[in-house]
Amino acid sequence: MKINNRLLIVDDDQNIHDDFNKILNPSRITDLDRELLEIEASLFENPDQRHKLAYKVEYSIDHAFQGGEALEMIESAQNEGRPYSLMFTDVRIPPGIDGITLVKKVRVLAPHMQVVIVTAFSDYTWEEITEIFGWTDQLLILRKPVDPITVKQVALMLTKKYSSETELRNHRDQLEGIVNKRTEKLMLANQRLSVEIADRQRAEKALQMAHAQLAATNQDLSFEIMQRRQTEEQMKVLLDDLGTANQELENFAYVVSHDLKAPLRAIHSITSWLSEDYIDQLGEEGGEYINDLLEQTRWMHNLIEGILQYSRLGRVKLEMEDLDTLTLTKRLVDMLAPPEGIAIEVSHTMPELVYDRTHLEQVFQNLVENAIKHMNNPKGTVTIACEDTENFWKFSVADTGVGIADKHHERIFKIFQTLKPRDGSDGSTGIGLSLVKKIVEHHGGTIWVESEPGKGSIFYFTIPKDLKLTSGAGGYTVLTIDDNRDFGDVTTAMLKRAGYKPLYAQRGSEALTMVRNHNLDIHLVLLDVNLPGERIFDLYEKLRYLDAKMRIVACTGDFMSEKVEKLREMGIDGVLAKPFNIEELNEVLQAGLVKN
Amino acid sequence: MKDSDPILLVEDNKIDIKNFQRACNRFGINNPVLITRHGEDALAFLHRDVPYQGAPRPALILLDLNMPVMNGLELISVVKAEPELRSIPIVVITTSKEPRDREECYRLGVSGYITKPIEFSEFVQAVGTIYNYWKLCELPD
Repeated sequence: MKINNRLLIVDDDQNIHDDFNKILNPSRITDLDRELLEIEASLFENPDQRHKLAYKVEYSIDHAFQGGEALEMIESAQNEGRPYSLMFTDVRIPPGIDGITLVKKVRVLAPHMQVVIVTAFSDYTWEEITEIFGWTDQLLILRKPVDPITVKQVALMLTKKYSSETELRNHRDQLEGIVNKRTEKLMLANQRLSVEIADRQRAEKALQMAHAQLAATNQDLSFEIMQRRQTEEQMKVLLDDLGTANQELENFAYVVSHDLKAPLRAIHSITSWLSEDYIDQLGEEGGEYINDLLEQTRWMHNLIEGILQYSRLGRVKLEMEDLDTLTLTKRLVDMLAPPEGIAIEVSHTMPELVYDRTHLEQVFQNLVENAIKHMNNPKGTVTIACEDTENFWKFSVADTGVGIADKHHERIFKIFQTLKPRDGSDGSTGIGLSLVKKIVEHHGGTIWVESEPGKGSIFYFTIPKDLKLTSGAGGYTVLTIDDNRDFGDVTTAMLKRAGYKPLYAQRGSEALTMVRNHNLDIHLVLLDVNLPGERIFDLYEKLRYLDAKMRIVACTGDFMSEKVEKLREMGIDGVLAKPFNIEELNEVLQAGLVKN
Repeated sequence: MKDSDPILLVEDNKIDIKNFQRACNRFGINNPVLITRHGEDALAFLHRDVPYQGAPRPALILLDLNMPVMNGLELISVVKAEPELRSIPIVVITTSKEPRDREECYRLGVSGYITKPIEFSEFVQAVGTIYNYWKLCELPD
């Protein structure tokens, strides 16, 4: 601890100042010092300690003779940062303020400074002084005359006390500073935390809002999904209704057209009778009317036939089968019997494909008939050809006729649209091309025309290559085992017609080889029960062993034979009685194929 | 078929009946033509039920398809299932161009299928051809 040794002595008498100097700052060890040391030595046993103590304390003593002067000195000392730790003051220090007043002011000016009032009894009583200052540990009153040793002790103790207190205060201040700083930091942190908490609360609120919004959106979405589902259901119902309505319309068209045929035929017949029986009485004009009547009924008949054909598309179940378009078109050409001068050429590039036979015949028939009708020339050529594009067959029917202007290229495919007056004079109904278009598009193809007036027309239509055979037969592979090759050929043809993939084996060993070849993927075996030279039950067992999933149907002329009975016991999938037609064959095969 | 063999016409349309009669006149067909107006009527005739007791067995049946009460297809399936009647040849003369009808008729065992042409002259021609053909054919007794 560093001792503040700055003392201020206030007295109007120079001698007193000198006495304090001598007592407190001896330049040499005086008798008085020695005496003091003796006393100290009696108190402290260690002589070294005594010396240290004795010579360590050296006071810096200032002197004031007046109260005002003292106050000024105290103030300036404080301002300079080297305050006095202890003041000795006399009470009577005329002129100016007396010691008591000085002390009062000092208590305000330098509250920590230690004060010793040196006074005689006569001036203030101790009670009076304590009444003025109250009990304080910073004020000591010494009665004159003062013992030098007391002065020394007092000075030593009080400077030490001041220093201790100062140090304590500093320490406390420092601590307080630290605490304040900490508090400040804490407050700052707190503030930041508050800000952060506020931010977080805001974020939380925003999150809650977002959640709420999300929930709302979710609800909206669920609602929308529900609505959409309802709409879809409604649409399905509507579509069903539409389908039913369409079906009804087509049935209606069929029934009505069909029923219209009879009275129309009757009108036509009666008109014919009139013409035959009464032509003489009708006269020239009457004969003309009769002819007009016949022409109109003919036209109406064509219209009805057209509508029937058109409605047949939706009415009749498709029979998709393997077709050879070359044979089909050649047969058609024979049937159409084109007039002399009109040549119909069929290219050799006509492919085999899968299509509904009636549909394909209708398409070619309409296109070729149209070509002939619109030739407008006794001589001409119609050319039927096919081009192999990647996914489609592209067929063309070209003619050397009048041609069609661009603006009509779409119109001609619309029902009841013709490019000639619709009075029946040329028999056009406006149904043919619309029927063709309906068929082509029904099978996933497209149709269009390329033509210029005077340069003939080419009608193109496409057929997808991936059309499937009518399901049911579904492309199942059926192996026929029969020693009679003719029977095999007939059965193979029937199977093919019904849409199966037929295979044929004459002997059991041949059949077993085919079944072992899994690439063939045989679904069903048609097994002749009476194969000569074969142990039929062994063959049956072997077939079963090779492919447990494969169906086996027995084929026999004798439905009730013991062999058939035994095969039934062995679990054969069906029995087909010879001879059979295609329906019976199909029925037994289907039953066998769907069997578990 | 002899000139005296009766022909059964099953036809509901009176104009077509007249057409047929006109055609017969045209070709001088003298065979007796017996007329019934629908399938059930025809079956009664063939079975000699009331009011057709003692009716002769026809040598040829000419049959329309679309008729009331019992249509032509039903009649064919009944007739062809009866051993007594099975051998009588049936020729269908109809307005129906439906492939389904045609195929079903042949499957049931008819001897011919002709669609009635709209032109009277063609109809007459058709009747004449049918007559001449069956006249040429020798039929079972």
